[in-house]
Amino acid sequence: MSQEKWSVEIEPRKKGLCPDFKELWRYRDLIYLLARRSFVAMYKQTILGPAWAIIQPLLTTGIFTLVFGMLVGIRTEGPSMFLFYMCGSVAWNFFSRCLEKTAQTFADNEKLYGKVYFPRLCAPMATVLVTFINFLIQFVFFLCFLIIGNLTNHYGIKPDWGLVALTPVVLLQMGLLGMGVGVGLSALTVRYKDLSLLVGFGVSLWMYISPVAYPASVLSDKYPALKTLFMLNPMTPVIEFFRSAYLGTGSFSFIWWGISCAVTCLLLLAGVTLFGKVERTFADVI
Amino acid sequence: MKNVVLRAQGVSKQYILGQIGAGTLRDDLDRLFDRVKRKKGNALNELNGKSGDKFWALKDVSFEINEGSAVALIGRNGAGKSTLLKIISRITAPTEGKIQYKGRVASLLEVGTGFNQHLTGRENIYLNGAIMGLSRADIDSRLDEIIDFSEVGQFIDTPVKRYSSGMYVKLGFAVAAHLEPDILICDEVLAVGDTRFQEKCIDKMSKLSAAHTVIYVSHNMHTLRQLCNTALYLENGRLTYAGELEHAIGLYAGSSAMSDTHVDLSALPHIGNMGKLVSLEELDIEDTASNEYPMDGEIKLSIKTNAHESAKGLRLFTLISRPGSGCVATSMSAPIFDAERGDISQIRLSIPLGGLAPGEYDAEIWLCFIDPIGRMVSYDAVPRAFRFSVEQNLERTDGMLWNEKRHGLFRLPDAQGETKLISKANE
Repeated sequence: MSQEKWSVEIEPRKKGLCPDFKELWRYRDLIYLLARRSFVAMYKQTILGPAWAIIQPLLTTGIFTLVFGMLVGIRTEGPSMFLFYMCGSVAWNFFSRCLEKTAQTFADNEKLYGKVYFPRLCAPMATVLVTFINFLIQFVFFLCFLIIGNLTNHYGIKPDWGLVALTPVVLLQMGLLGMGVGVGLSALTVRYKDLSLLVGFGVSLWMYISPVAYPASVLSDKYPALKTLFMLNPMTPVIEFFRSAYLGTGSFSFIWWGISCAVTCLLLLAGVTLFGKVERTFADVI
Repeated sequence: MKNVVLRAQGVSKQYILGQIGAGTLRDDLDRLFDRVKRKKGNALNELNGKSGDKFWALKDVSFEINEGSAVALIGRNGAGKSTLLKIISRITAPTEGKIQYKGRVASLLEVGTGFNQHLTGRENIYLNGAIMGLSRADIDSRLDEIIDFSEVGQFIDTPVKRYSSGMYVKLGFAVAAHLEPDILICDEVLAVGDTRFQEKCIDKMSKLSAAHTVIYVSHNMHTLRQLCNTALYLENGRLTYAGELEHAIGLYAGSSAMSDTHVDLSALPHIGNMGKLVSLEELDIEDTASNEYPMDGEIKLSIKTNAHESAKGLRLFTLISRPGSGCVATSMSAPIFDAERGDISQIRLSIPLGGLAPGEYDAEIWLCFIDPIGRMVSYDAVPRAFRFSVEQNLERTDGMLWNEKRHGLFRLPDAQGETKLISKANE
């Protein structure tokens, strides 16, 4: 026997920061099956089934329209207040669900992780996939509203088709951002249990500093000094992107979006690294 | 040629005792603060406070496993077996050392891991297979075989929550058994289903271990004898023996050391429903240095007793058992012992071993009386008084190597027979 070729070496510390992409690719069937599992589990034995995916943004949009639009009287852009809020909340919903659910990765998969090895990132990736499917249902629903509104009320909304073509890239960015922050938080919650209680709270705070319930222009007009800070929030350009692309009303700029992408990459790297560190000893801690 | 498929080098695993994981941010900040302080030159006692409660579940474990071997991992509870399995199957990382292996490892630490209640049997096969690292195509090609093995038949398209617990476990094992990994790790999962299915599992496992490498953990020595050919024996996190299965089982069953020919019986645990009426004090095994006997040999014992009560017509009853399994033979003496209260006497006993098969045995000694209606009254009894072994003797077994799995534990006297010619071939 010459120098032996080992297929796996188990060592106290992992080499390198990056996850093993080759291995993840080999387990792609698992990602799909895990996603399918949670999708089926989510809607089995509910009366309305996937209709819940539609009811939820409808309610949120209704409340936003009522509270922010009518009671507070925030000036929204575009001809339809309802569509304005729906656009924002559907997009935000995708991101926040990704974050909140991947933040529970270790808690949700405790039993599985403790019994069998597979690339741990498969589970949060499956979560993002399920969330994405839910988002698609909501998004199609939003498009229906948009088209019907345009046809019957002559809103005259002109989507920016160039930007619309960019949608998949932005969706990918949102998924990765949500997952990156989520898995990072899930790694931290293994040590600091109290953090899991803060996640939901943190996400709603994040929503209020993102232009979901109001247009970005309101804030940047009123407090120009805070504009840079506001735009550094990686979700601000993303929400504005959806409004610009589909309603033709936002203030989307490629520069801020570029910065948002860079922030996404940083947060994703940090989250995945933290996750990779914790996954190796998770079974001892839980 | 021996081809090493798994090598462990100095593997250690440390756990921190106490409230693992219940750490608060404050603790961590304290620790960080300490570290910074120490860097500045303020030597801080390492053992100050909480840092002292550490525990090595595994310490410096090194071994190699050859391709195609079936290895039993033996040890008492808490010896570190599960920790070692968890490290090999990459569920947790070692604190020190490293493990290298070739090919794919599948670990069966639990049957039906990742099954989802709402999915059907068929869907769960795919899910479970994918968790174990199979691709869709792999499972497609084995699906029929898996369904067939699991015996769930027509229920394969029913959600598993409607399964009986037996069916659930059968399906789980069926998937695992058809993974065909290069190294299969099993943690006592064969204790599933009904007896017939268990046999089927063991049969499947031994077929697997013929072509693949298997690491198997069990407290059932019978199963281990059926499946494994070598063993690793762990004690308190250290690997104290690697090699022959029987020797490791002996260590596990843990009676007095084999080469002892003098045994202080009074120091061993005693049993017996009547207490010590006449106590067994000391035992000398005579005419041997190693407690190894040929087949048809004879064990010669000399036992010192101390009578606390008067007794008449007592017998010595010897139960011979396989370590970790049940009794395989008994030997009863004639009523040879009489004593007055306070007597200290010596009993000399010889036990012919007859056709007892080669292997290691434990002997249990009883001093007893059989009353007129057939009940045994115990005057004293020592389980695991001593251990002995019977050696292979090809002359005695007609040139055939004794294989316990096939031939059992006792050879009856030679069969008698004769041949009579009925009609001659030519003519």
